[in-house]
Amino acid sequence: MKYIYNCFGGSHSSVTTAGIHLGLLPRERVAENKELLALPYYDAQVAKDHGRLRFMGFDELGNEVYVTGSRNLRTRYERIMRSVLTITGTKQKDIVIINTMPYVNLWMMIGGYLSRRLGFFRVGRSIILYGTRCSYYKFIHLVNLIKMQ
Amino acid sequence: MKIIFQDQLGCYAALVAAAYYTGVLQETPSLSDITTLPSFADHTNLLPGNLFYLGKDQEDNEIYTLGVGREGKVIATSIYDLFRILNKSEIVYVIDVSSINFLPLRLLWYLKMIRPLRRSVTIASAFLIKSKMPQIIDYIKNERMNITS
Repeated sequence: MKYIYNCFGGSHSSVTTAGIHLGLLPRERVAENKELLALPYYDAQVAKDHGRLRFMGFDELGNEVYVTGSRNLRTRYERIMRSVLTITGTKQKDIVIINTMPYVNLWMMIGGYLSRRLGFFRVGRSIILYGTRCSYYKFIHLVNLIKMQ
Repeated sequence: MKIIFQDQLGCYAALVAAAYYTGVLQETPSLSDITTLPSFADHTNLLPGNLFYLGKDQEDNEIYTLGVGREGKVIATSIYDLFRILNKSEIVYVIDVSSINFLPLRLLWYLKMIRPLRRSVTIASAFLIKSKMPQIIDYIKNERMNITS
């Protein structure tokens, strides 16, 4: 099975949630800043990477976990990908597409804009880290929901 | 192979390009040829993100149109990446014709929301898209060469 976590830029909420899914981040406490920054692709993707599926790793059951940036498509992203899978006769149950945007808070949006769009890495990154830590338990909840299914 | 023509709403340049590709439209279509295309300028009823089947070309490829908003490049990249990780990269080909929908045409999309103007806006849209037929023809010729190679 393949899990595809997506958010606006594929840099923060999707990477954090994928990190929790893979066990790269703790599930019983809020991750430290250095743990978040050590994640592959965390606060690293740029506009030309949007849409590209980035492999994050295999989970404990051997499932592949990917992250991507779907920009403003949100739920339309899954609908489009599912439509394309349908016309090609690909098994739908092999792909799980998860939108992490509902769990993104204002701090993450502001920090992401400053860091990724405007290039103010130092300021933007500290705001993103704060925002990610604020929503961290929501990301854990999302991973728990996904793994329960 | 499945060939997907995409633009912002899936019922303007994408539809006309797909119709030309399948041979439904000739190189110099009349306005009525364009306005009678199924779902032409019907974006008030269509949802972006839904695939619409148009028909088959001479090589038996299935032709679809898709509206993706402003994120054509993101979706094309994601579709190619998805089928690459599924080891089926040769079964879908995406042609993004968003750039052919130029500004005056895009402005008409808003006028289309006004019910009494719908018929005249459809004809005006057909007139504008007809003026872009040489560009569509060049585009399709290039893409046809890519598909056959």
